[in-house]
Amino acid sequence: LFWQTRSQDMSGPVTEDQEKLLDEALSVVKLQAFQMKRCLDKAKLMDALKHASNMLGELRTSLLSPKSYYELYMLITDEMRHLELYLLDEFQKGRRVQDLYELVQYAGNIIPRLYLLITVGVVYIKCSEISRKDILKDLVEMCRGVQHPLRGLFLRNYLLQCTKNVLPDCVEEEQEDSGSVSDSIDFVLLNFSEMNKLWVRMQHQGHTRERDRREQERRELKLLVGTNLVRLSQLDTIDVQRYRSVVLPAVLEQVVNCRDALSQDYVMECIIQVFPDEYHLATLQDFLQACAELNPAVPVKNILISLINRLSAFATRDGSNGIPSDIPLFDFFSEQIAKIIENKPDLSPEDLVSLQAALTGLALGVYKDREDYVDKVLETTNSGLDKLGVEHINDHSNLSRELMKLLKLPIDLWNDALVLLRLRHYSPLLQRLDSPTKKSVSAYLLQNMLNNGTLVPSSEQVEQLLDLVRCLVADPGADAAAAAADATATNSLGGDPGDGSANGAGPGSEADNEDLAEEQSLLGRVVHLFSTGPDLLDEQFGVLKTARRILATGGGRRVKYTLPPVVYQAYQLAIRCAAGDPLPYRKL
Amino acid sequence: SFFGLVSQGAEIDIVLDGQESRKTAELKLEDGRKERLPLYYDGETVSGKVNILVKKSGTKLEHQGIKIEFVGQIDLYFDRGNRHEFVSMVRELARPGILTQGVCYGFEFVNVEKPYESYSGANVRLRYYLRVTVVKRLSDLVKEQDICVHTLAQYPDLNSSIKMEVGIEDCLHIEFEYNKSKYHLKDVIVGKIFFLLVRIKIRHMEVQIIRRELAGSGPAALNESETLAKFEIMDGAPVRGESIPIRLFLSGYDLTPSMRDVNKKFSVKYYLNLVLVDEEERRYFKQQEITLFRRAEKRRRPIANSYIEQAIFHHRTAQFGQQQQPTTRAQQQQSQATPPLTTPEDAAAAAISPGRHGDANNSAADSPELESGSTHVSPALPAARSAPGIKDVLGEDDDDNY
Repeated sequence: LFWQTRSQDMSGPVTEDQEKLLDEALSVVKLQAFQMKRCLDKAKLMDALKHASNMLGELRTSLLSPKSYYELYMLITDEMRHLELYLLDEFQKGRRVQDLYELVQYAGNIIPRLYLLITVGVVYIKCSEISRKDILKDLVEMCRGVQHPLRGLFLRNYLLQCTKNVLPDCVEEEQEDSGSVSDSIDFVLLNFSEMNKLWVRMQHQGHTRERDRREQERRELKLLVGTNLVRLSQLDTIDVQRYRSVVLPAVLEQVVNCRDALSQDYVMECIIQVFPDEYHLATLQDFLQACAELNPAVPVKNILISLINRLSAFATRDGSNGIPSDIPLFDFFSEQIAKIIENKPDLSPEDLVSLQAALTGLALGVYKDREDYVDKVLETTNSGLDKLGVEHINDHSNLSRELMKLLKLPIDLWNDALVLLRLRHYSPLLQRLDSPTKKSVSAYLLQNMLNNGTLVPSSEQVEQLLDLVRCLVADPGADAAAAAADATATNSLGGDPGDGSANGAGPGSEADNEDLAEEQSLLGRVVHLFSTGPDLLDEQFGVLKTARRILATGGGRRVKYTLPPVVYQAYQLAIRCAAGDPLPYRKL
Repeated sequence: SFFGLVSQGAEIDIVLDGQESRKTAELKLEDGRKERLPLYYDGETVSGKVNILVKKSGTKLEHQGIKIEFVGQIDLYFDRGNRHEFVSMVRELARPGILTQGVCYGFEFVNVEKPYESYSGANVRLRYYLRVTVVKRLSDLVKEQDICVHTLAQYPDLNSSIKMEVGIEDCLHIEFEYNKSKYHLKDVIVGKIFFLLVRIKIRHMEVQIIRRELAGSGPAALNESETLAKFEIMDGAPVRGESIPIRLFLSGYDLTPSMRDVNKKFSVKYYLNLVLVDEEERRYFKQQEITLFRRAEKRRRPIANSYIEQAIFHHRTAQFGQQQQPTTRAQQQQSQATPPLTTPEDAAAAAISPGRHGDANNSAADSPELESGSTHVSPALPAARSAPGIKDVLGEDDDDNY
């Protein structure tokens, strides 16, 4: 007596079917829209409404994919504008249709009924401020009748779009029942939470094997949900106080409690992008607290990085007042990131590094003179990588890439290599990288010094610098390999230069030799920056001695590039000494 | 007797007083056609003129008397022989004589009683009419003129809301609420459906208005149901904790007042039928009788604010056994964020056999109805929830896991 039938597999419609279905729906819409407009031209409103209702009936379909449904929705809502304009015109001319708000509710099917109700309700609002509050409240409540996720999302989007310019935006009600910004906030927040509910519900519809497609479809629709937040941000009367006490708590409550990773990821990101930076500064703790309560599948690091980057940009923008001094921004984020690392044992090394990179960016942007901040971050990164048991960092890995980005930040933002030399944890981090990447970063640093003319004024600092870029200074392993390769090349029978190691990229090959030449001449040019300045001739000699000593360890292949500059500098020094008076200091 | 005009030389025409200014109403005739008739109320005088025109001038029409009757009667279509006249008044217009030309008689039924409303239904009809009879030796000349009667009722003093929990164990549990139990014909049904437990995949929900006419009595009585309205109130599948609003305007439909045991001959009852349809076309329904009455015409409201006010509802905060109902929005989100059951096997296993293509026109005996729990007819929030008869379906922890 009872059915064991499974529900029909409402799985993904085939694309060709979709096209056909959509085309059919669109042609019905075009026909009904044409009829509707003709009736409006003849002032036959009831007939026009019937055609409008037929047209809206196409939105009742379950057969279209979200993309196709969207297209259909766009065409229909365009046509509904004609109806709205006609009604506005009639109302403004004093030809108000009696009880139109009631009449449209006679429609037997809920989708056409609610779309018509919203359209008419907005006309009423636009023509009279009276009962605006009641109408808005009624519209957002009546939409509850549509519980189907896709149709409900679009219906509520229509509500949001139609009411765009009529939401009350004043602190106190101007007339009785005209509403204040509190009512607008309630309206949008309710709409937002209902839409988020529907959006999350999509995740659980249908078969598990369809999950990827469903998630993709959900992503296509995310903007519908986000528009609610945009609308809130457009209400001018919402100040930071109201945002902190009313708006944000409600949004965060919804986001955290829905427990859906996709929604949380998007909405948190949306909050960051949509609201002004001053608001974020004022609500950091609440926001970060919510971050800590998100579904574990949410990539919180991306959210944090977004926020940090945004605040950094805000603080360093021209004309900005910077971060208020009573907000210990760096400490906040430092703590939060530490919490995340602690709570997520599966955090990957590259995620760890990218988080630290964002924090570094913040420190460099906002607290430029706080070298200790940067050093702290580098220290944390180092110990973090240790804890994760990271030993060898593969050259082409994500981790390598992220670490390289991190290490380049202080170079770019300080433009002063000497500061780097003071950081105790910069070098250890650099040395973790694999040889090619290490060399790349080192070269980057040297190039930066040349671009900025950063002089190295002491022997100690020369030593530190050359130690930092030691991968460029000497590489015994590579030299041995190169020597071996040469030997093989000369010994091989029928040694065709075209094949074998001679022209390849291996050590001793032509390409390798070219790289080496480039590196070393770079190093050589930097030697010219080893300058203590005028009058400190003794110091200068010490500097050059140190340089020569260290550079000599580079071996034969290198010194032919690096030693000549030292010699040249020595000549310069000698000339200055001999002349007795200091030569005019020349920037090389 | 003939009802026709052209018959044996005379044309009878009944003209009612004040016909130009009198309101009219539409009534269905037996053959389905609609007729617009003058509208009268109980106690109103029915007066007018009878014009009798002899067709061919020069002919003589000999008669045994002319009279006019005012009749209120009930016709049972399956019992043609019997007419039940509950009002019958007669006035003599003319003594036996001869008519040679047109003649006009006035008539007046002063403050005549019209205890029931005109009704034209599937198996029974209640009508009021004037009948002019020109009595002749062989066959009488007869002319009838129907009028329509509406009965007005006062707004009831006591008009409690209807609030009830119904469901199928382990499957579906809802609470529905309608704001009143008695509605006037231009009223609005305002209410809501609250979902306490949802384990089936609902496709949509609608409210139907059903008229049930019971004609005759005893074993010969005929029961006829007609669905007058199908009003969709929900599209898609809700989850536990959802509250769906109902707003149904009765003006949009062709309704009559409820009629109870009119002259002990027939009744007309109205029901609201709440129907839920799931993805497999199974229908779950709950019928609830309401009373319809006709109210005196009021001045029209300027803009319908009052029903908007009525319709802004609040979520229920009642408690059920140990289970805490979600009160804040946050808790609501929490309780429904978890995915619903997707297989209907559990639902099917609950030993119900709901009507398949259960057209609610069929008698309720075949298709099962959602079980009632307690019936609350007072508008106050219920105090204790453990009413007898309700199985505590909400005691299960499973709700949180799906």
